[in-house]
Amino acid sequence: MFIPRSYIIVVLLSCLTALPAVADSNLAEAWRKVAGHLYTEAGLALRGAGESRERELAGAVMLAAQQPTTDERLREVERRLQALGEPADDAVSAAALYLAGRLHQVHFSRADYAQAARYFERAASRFPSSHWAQLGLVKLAMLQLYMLPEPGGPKVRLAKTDALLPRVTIPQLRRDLLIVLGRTRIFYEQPLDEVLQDLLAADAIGGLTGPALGEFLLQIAELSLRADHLRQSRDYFTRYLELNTADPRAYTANERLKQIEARLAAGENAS
Amino acid sequence: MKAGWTRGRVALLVALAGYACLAWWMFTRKTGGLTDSRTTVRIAHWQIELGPPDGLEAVIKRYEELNPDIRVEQVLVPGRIYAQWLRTNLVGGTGADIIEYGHFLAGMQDVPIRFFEPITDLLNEPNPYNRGTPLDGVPWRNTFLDGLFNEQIYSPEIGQIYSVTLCQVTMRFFCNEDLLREIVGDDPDFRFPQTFDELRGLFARTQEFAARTGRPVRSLAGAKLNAEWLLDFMLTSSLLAVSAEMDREGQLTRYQRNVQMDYLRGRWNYQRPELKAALELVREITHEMRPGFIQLQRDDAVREFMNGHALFVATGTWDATSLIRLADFPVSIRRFPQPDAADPLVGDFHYGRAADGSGLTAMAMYLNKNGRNKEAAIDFMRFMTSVEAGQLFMDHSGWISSVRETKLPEYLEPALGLVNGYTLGGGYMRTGANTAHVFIQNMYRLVGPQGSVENFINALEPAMTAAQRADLQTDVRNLNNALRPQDAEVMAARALNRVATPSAANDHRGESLETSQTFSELNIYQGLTVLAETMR
Repeated sequence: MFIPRSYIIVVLLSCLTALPAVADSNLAEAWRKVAGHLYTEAGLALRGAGESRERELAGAVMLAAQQPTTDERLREVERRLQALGEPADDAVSAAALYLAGRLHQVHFSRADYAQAARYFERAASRFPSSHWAQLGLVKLAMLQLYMLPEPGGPKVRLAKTDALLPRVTIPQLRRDLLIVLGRTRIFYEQPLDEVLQDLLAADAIGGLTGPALGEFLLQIAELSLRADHLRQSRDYFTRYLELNTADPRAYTANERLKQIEARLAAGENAS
Repeated sequence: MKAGWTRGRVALLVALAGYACLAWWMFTRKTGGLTDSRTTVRIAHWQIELGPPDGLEAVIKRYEELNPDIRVEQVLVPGRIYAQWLRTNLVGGTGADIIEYGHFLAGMQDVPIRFFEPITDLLNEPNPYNRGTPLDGVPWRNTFLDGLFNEQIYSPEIGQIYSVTLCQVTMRFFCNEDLLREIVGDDPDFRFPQTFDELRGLFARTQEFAARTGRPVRSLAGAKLNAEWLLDFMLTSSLLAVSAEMDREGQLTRYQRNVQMDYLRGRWNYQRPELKAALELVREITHEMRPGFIQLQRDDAVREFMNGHALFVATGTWDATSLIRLADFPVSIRRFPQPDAADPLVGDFHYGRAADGSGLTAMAMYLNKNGRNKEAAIDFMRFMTSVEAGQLFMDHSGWISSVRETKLPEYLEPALGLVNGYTLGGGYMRTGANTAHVFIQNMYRLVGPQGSVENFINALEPAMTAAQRADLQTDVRNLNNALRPQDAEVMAARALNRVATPSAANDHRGESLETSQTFSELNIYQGLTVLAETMR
C-alpha cells in the first residue's frame, strides 16, 4: 500500500506538537502522586516531563519529602529553591521562596525562625499579592507572635502582627490570621473584647466548614457570654447548635442558652 | 510396553482430572477466583474478639445483596502486630481500602496524613443509605451519636475529620442482681443509688453483709485498669468546675495540651482544694476494692465478679455481652451514681451533672488515600454507618452501634451513653504517657490503709512538672510530625491548578490544608512558648 510522503510528514509533525502536552500531563501526574504522598511514583512520572521551572519546583518538593529526611538533602533543596526564587517573577518564584522559608520553619532538624522570616519577608516584598507570599505572611505573623526574639513582650508582638494584617488581602488567609490573632490574645491574656473583635472580623469573612467552624462558633459564643454580650452569645450558640446536633458539647451549649434567656428575661441590658 | 503406555495414559488422565478440579475450584469458590469480576473492598481492623467480626459480616452480607457487583472482605489482624502490619502494608501499597486506626497507636502519628484521606466534605452531606429513615437528609456527621467528636478532637489535621466510627463504648457498673437482693434483703424502701452519697450507703450495707455472713464479698471488683477507668471518670466529673475555670479559650472542652500548659503555668495543681477533695473521693472508692488490686489484671476483676465475690464490676460496655451471657446470675447494667451539691466531700465544688460514660463513639475506620477502589470504599463506609447497617452490626456483635436511631436491645439500654450532662474535659489523671506513669506509679500512696491524699500529693507534685513537660513535648513533636508531610500536599494541590485543568477540588484541598496547618502551628508555638517560659 502506497502512503504519500507528505501524509507521513504531517502525521509526524502533529505527533511532535503533541509532545509538550504529554510532558505537561507527566508533570500533572507527578504532582498528583505528590498529593497522594507517592514520591517514588511521582519521581517516575516526573522523568517524562519536559524541562521547565514547574518541573524543577516539583523535583525540589519531592526531594524535600523524601524519607528519611536529612539536613544535607534539605540544604540541597534550599539551593534549588533559591535558584528558582530569584531570577523570575512568576508563581514558581513565590512558591520557591515560601517553601524555602518552610524548610527553616518546620523541616530542618533545628528550626531557624529568623531565616524562615527572611524568606517570608522576601516573598512578600517581591510578590505582595501572590498567594504564597500572603501565606508566608501568616507564617511570619505566627513567628512574630511566639518564636522570634521580642524584648517588648506580648503587647509589642501583637502590635507588630496587627501591622501585618493589612498586607494579607486574600480572604481565606486574612480570616486565618484574624483567628490566630484572636487566639493569641487569649494566650497572652488580653481583654476579651479585643479577642472578640478579631474573631468576629474572621467570621465576617466566612468560609470555615465542618468541625473547625463548630469550634469557632462555640468559642465566640462562650467568650461573648463571658464578656456579657448576651444577645451575641445567644446568636452564636444558636448557630453552633444548628450545625452540631450530636456533639457532646451541645448539652453545655443548650444549658448556656437557657441561662442567657433567663438573664435577658430578667431584663439584663446586654448587647 | 502396552502396559506402560496404559499407565502413562492413566497418569495423564489423573493429572488432567486434578487440574480440572483445581480449575473448577479456582473459578467457582466464593472468595476470589478468576470469574469473580466484582470490585473488591477490603476492610482491616484489630477487633478480632467475639462480636465485632460477626457484626461486620452481617453488614457485609447485606451490602453485597444491595451491591452485587462489589465484594467486601474483612481482614482481621491481631492487635499486637497491628501497627507493624499497618505501616508495612501502607508503605508497600497493599493497604486495605478501609482501615481501623487509633490516635493512641504509638509511633504512628505520621500515618493518617500520609496515607489516609480526610472525608470532612462527605460528612457534611447526607448519607444516601439513610433515605427513608429518621436520619434522611441529616448531614452524615450528625448521624453519629457523638457527632464524631473524638474523631474531631484527635484529628491529624485540625478542622478535618478522617474517619467514621462503628460503635459506642461507655463505662458502666455491672451489677450482680442476686447478690444485690441478698445484701438489701426485702427492704421495701431500697432503690438503686442515684447519688454518690446513696452509693456510700450501699457500700456500707455490703460491708455489713460480708461481716454478718462471713462471705468474702466486696462492693467493687478490683483491678488496676478497672480502677483507673473508674477513677478517671470520678475525677473528671467532680472537677467540672476546675475544667470550666481553666477553659480560658472558650472551647467547652480541654485538649490535653491545654491541661499540660495550664499545669506548667501554675494554673492548677494537686494542692487545690477541689483536687484534694476529689482525690479523697477516689480514696474512698478504692476502699471498696480488695487489697492489692493495683497488682491485678482486668481478668482478675471479671473473675472476682463472676465468682460472686463483688457486687459490681466497673468496666466498658464491650464486656456487656460476655458478662451477661456467661454469668450464672442475672447481671444488670447501671450508671455511675454521681456526687451532687449535697455531697459531704466534693459538694462544695459541685458544678453540675457530668455526662456519664462519655457517650463517645469508637472503632474508627479510615479511608486509604491510595486504595484501589476508593469510590466503592466510600460507598461501603456510608452503608456500614447507616441506620440499617448500624442495627445489623449491633444485633450481631452485641456492641452498641455508633449510629443514631438504631434500636438497642433492652438489656443494653442502660449502657447507652447519653449526653445529659456537662463534658468539659479532664486530664487530671493523665495527659499522656509520662503523666499517666507518674500518677499510676504513686497511686499506692493514695489507696489502701496506709495511703493518704497528703502522701500521694507530696510524692506526685515533684514528679508531675517534668511529666507534664515531657507530655507537652510529645504533643508538640507529634503535631510537627503530622505537619511536615502536608507541605508537599499543599504545594501539589496549588501546582495542579497551574499545570493541569484548574479544579475547585484542588483549591479546596489546598485551602483546607493551609488553614489546618496554621491552626496546628498555633498550637505548636503556644506549646513551645510555655515550655520555654517554664524551663527551670
